[in-house]
Amino acid sequence: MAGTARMKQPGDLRVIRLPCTGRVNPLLILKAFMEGADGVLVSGCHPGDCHYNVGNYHARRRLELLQRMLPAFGIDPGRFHYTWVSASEGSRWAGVVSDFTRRIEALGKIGAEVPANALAKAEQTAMTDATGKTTS
Amino acid sequence: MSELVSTIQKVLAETGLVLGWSATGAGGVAAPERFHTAEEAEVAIFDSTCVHNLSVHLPRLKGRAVGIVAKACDARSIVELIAEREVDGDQVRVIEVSCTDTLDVKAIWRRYGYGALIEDDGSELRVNGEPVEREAFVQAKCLDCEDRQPATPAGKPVPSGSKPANARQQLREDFQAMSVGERRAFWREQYARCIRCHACREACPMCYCRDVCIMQTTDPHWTGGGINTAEAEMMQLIRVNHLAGRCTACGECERACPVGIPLMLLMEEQNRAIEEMFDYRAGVDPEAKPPLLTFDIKGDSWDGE
Amino acid sequence: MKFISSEKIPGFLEALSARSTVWAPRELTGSGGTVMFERWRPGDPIDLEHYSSLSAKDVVLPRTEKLFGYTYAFGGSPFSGGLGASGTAVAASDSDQAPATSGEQIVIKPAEPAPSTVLFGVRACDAKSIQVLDALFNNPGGEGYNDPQYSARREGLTVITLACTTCDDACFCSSFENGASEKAGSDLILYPVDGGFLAEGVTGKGGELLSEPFFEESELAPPPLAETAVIEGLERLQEILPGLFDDLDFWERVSERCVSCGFCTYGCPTCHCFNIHDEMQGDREGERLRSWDACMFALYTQETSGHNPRPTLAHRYRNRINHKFSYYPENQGEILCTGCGRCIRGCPAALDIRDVLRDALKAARKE
Repeated sequence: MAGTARMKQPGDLRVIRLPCTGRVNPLLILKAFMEGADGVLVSGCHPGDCHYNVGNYHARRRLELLQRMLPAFGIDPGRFHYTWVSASEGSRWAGVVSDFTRRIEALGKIGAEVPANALAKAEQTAMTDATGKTTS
Repeated sequence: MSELVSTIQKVLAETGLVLGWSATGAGGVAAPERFHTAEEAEVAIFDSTCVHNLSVHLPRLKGRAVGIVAKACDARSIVELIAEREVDGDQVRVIEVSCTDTLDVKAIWRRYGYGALIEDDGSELRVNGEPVEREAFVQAKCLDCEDRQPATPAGKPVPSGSKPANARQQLREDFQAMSVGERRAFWREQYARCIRCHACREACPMCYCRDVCIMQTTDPHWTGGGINTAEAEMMQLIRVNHLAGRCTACGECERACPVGIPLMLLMEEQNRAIEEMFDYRAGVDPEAKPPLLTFDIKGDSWDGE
Repeated sequence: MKFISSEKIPGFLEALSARSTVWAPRELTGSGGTVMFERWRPGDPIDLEHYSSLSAKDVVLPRTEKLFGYTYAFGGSPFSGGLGASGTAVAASDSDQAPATSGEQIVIKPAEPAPSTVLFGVRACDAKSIQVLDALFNNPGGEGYNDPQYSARREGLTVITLACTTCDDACFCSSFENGASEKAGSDLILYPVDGGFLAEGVTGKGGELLSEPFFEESELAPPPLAETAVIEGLERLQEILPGLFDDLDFWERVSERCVSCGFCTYGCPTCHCFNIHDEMQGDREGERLRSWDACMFALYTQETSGHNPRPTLAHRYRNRINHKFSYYPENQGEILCTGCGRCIRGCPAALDIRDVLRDALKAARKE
């Protein structure tokens, strides 16, 4: 809808289509962060509108728990957002993704929030730096 | 003969196997034991060095009758295993022991040398004959325990709260005071020494997938095979995620970690979040619906929809 | 003998670190007292008091090491360097097709050469374990297998051992021939005395270090070394264990406490099993890595068919004991254990390998 209406969308957002937010294993989001994604947005059908009846009700609990756990993992919770946008809400979609992308751009690259001295300490303790990779 | 021994012997007559402790562990502390006969059971003990959560063995013994000596915290794991149908409640006989607290034996040994003589009458703790400050060497989970029995002679639980009683509690406070970025650096420093021995997983009663765990599968490739900070971090994210609403906070992952990674910091955060969100604690009611296997249409609107 | 005062140790290490990578034991912050061998840099603390929680075998057998890197290149154009602009440009259009038989190239990038390394502050048991590993991996020009990566690291390695004047309840090195006075594997041995250490060169490499200005002549006599608990007859296990092989009840009984983690093998200075695996970054570039693996894991012997010749914990524990005390002595002439006690100190289930060994010796006597 947003596309056919020729609404502007940010170009640095990569869309990964899944059949239902119920398919979104929170580990997929965490793996994305571990692999270097600067932000992850999950957008699904509105609660009550699930094609599979209950998928997004299950997803809502998992996603909210993940949202609350991100600070403990050391990931800025602002880098993650979940929301509900239906197929007919083209302008809302364009707004959500634009806002989210702007927010991530403001936060910068993932890891930008890690203080340099703390990171240096973490890297220095890494025993394997002489013999193998410690980061990827 | 102690009451514990005779209880075990009574249960043995029905089950033919009881999991308990004897005092024969390495370094002169308690060790997990399997009793098959009344005679074997005569050495059964329970004291504050009985730190192990024996319910980790139950899934492996699935299908046979078994008695198990359990602290209140271990009993929560058993309840959760029954709730998840991993253990048949009709086949398990729980012998619950009353417990004041358990010791961080490793911390004692690090301070006083491995195998130092530990004597504990429930209130006074002596190491190598000298009295030592108890709270400094009690497992942090025990200081937080709601089922904790009175520990002081005065009959009152030692207050924990305002001031951290030991180094582990202090670490938790330090962690909570960190910024998000500092926490990421903190974890990377911690994970840098992970050797992927999987002790955290194997010591966990709820991690019964064991040999088919996705931490080690190649397809899907959630983690690579390398032993490094990045893989260790992903491993722990998997563990935390898979224990959401299932962790009974027994603390075995952290106790088992040979390189002292404070893994319970994450579990504590998650358990608190789950209690706040769903008013749910794992391992309390075997009939309760696990919060992440269900939903509440109206009650779950955290985002205001 | 030569003497070095305690105050001069950091200076000595600094001099060594100017030309080599130095590894020394250190207590890690926020680790509940974990002591590990770490890269030492000037100013870093050293812990020579506690036993390290893990052995120092990383120095010769890194927990993960890169054997080589590789990149796939398609389209017939020779591919130099990493995935540069030209690499990604080629990838976009050709990657969907089946790999071209004519144009496909695999570019191998060799691993970095092994650095010259000094291992400081290991105990006699750890130094000995390096010699035990040498029997398997390091046979340059000999008949046995020679592992080029291990061999290169071993060549550049200098081991400075701290002699033990005390021991703890988990130590059992006195069960082996020389106990705490074992010199094999060490290049230089430091004996703790008042105010510092007496130094004895064991090899030429270690002896050369004594000419450094940090050392002075001394009339002091070396201190008496620790005597640990002893298990008599470990060498007999090589004959005994094959007879117990089929007694699965025995192995089930001795391993019943085990929760099947791999710490006893990963913490062990002599356990050396590994896995070789490829890790891809994207679909064009990857690394072939060699990482620690352990016989205590079910996946270690899992076959592709689904069959597992060591299906239970008892089978796996049997292999651990047999490899250490039967197979390795038979094949390599060395017991694959030096009595360091780490598997005992670190076991989350309070399982003591000495009890198992005693049980095995006892079971044999009964027959």
